[in-house]
Amino acid sequence: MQQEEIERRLQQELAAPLPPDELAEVVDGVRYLEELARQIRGLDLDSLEPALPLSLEEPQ
Amino acid sequence: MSAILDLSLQALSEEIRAKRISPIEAVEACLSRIEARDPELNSFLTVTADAALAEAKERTEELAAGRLRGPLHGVPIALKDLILTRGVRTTSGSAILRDWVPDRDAAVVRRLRAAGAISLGKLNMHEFAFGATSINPHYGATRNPHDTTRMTGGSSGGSGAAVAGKLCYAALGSDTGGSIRCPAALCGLVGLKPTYGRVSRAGVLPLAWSLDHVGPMTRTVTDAALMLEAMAGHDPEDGTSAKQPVPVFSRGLDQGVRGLRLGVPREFFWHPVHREVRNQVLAAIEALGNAGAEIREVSLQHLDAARAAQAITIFSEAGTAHRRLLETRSAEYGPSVRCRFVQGLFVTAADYLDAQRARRVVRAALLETFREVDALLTPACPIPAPRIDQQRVNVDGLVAPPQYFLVRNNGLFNITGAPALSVPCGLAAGLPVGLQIAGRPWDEATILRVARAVEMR
Repeated sequence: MQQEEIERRLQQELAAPLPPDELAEVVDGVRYLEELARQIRGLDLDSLEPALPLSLEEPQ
Repeated sequence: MSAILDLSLQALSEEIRAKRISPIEAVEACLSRIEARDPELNSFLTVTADAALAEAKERTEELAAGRLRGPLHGVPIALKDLILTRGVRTTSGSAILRDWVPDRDAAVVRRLRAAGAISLGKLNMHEFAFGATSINPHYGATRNPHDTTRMTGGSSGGSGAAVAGKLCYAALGSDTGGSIRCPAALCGLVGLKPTYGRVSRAGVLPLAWSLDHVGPMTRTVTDAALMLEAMAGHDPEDGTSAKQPVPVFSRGLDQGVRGLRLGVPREFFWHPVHREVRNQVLAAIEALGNAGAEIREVSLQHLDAARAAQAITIFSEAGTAHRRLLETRSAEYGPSVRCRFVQGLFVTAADYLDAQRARRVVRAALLETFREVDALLTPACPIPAPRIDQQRVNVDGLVAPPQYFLVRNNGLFNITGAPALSVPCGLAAGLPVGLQIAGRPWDEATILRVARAVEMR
C-alpha cells in the first residue's frame, strides 16, 4: 500500500494526525503485515484447507 | 510478617484452614509489603486496602463459624488492570480509561471471590495489553524484583512483579501472544495460559478476541493448579467458553513423568536463544529424561505460517476492537501502542480470512504432533530480562529491540488455543529462565504434572 493511501485513510480513522515519525512506523508496519499475508498465500491454502461453500443442508 | 509472605499460596491456605494464620493477618502482611516495596516495583495501579480488609474480616468470621470456602479461602491475590471490577477503576494501563469505574465484576473475579480469594487491587500492565515490555507511558515501567533495573516482560508485567515480589500470593494475567508466559519466565514464576475456552473472558477487556486467554501467575505449580480450579468452567456470558469438565488439577501433580512422551521441536524455538537460557532449558529437559520421560525430537509443520497468522490476527482484531476509540481519542494513546493499533486497521478482510484458514492448517498439524507426544518443551522466552533502558539485544548475532525476542516462542499456542505454561528452570546471567510446556487442548493436567517434575528436580 502506498504511503499516500495510508495517510488518506488515517485522516478518516484518527481523531488527530500522526506525527511524521509515527507515520513512518505505521507505513513500515503495514508493509510488514502485507509481507506476512504474502507468506500465507504462498502456503497453497486451496489444497491444505479448502474453503468450502456454506451448506444449509444437514450432513448425510 | 516476612514468614507469612514467604509461604506459597498452598502453604498459606493450610495455615488458614488450621487457624494458625487468619485472613486478616495475611491481608495486613501483603498491604505492609505493598507499602514498603511497591514504590520501587510499581506493580499496583490501584490498591483496595479497605475493601480487602473488610473481606478479610468476613472470611475470618466465616472460619470462626466453621465455614471454609475452599483452598483459596482468605488468600490475597491481585488482578491485571484489564479485568473489570465493580466500583474499582479499571484502566487497562491506559490514560483513556484512567478514571473508568465499571459497574460489574468480570466472571473470573466473581468465581475467585466465591472461592474465598481476596483482591488487593489492580496491577500495572503494558498499555491496553498490546506489547511485551510493561514499560507504560502513563503509569511508568514495572520493575523486575530480581533486579529492579530490568523489565518484567509483559503485558502482564505488574502481575509478574507483584507475585515475584511477594506482594500477593497469586495474580491474574491475560495472554494474547505470550503475555502471561513472558513475564512469568522473566520474573521466575509459573504462568499458565489455559486452553482457549477454559476460563471465561466475560468482563475482561479484549485485545484480540480469538487469541485472548486469562490465566494465573503464581510462585509454584500447585498454586497455579489451585487457581485454575477456581477460575475454570463454562460461562454462558462468554460465547467462546467451552462446556468441558474441570478436573481437580492439583490432584496427581506428583505422579512424575515416567512414561510420558515429551517432544522437543527441532525448528524455530532454538534460534535465536541466549546461550545460557538454552543451556538451562536443555538441562531441565535432560532432567525430565532422567526422571523417566521419553524425550523425542519432533518436527512441527507450518511454523512460519503460524507466526504470520498470529501477527495478522492480533493486529487486525486489536485495530478493530479500538477503531471507535481511535476515531475520537487517538491523541490519548501512548505513541508506540497507537502505531500498533493503527497498523491493524490496514489488514484487508481477504488477508485476515486467509490467516484464519492458515490457522486451521497450523492447528491440525499441531494436533497431529500431539498424537506422537504428550507435551512439547521449548524455551519460554529466548532471553533473560533486558534492562528497562535497553534499546537493542544481541542474541546469536541477531541484534534487535527486546520486544522482537520477548514473546517470539509463545504465539503458536495462542493461534492454536492449546494450553501452555512457563515454569522456572534455572538462572541465566543471574536472572530467571522459564521452560515452556505446551499440551493438548483440555490437557492442562499433563503440562502441570511435567512442570511439577521440573520444580521438584
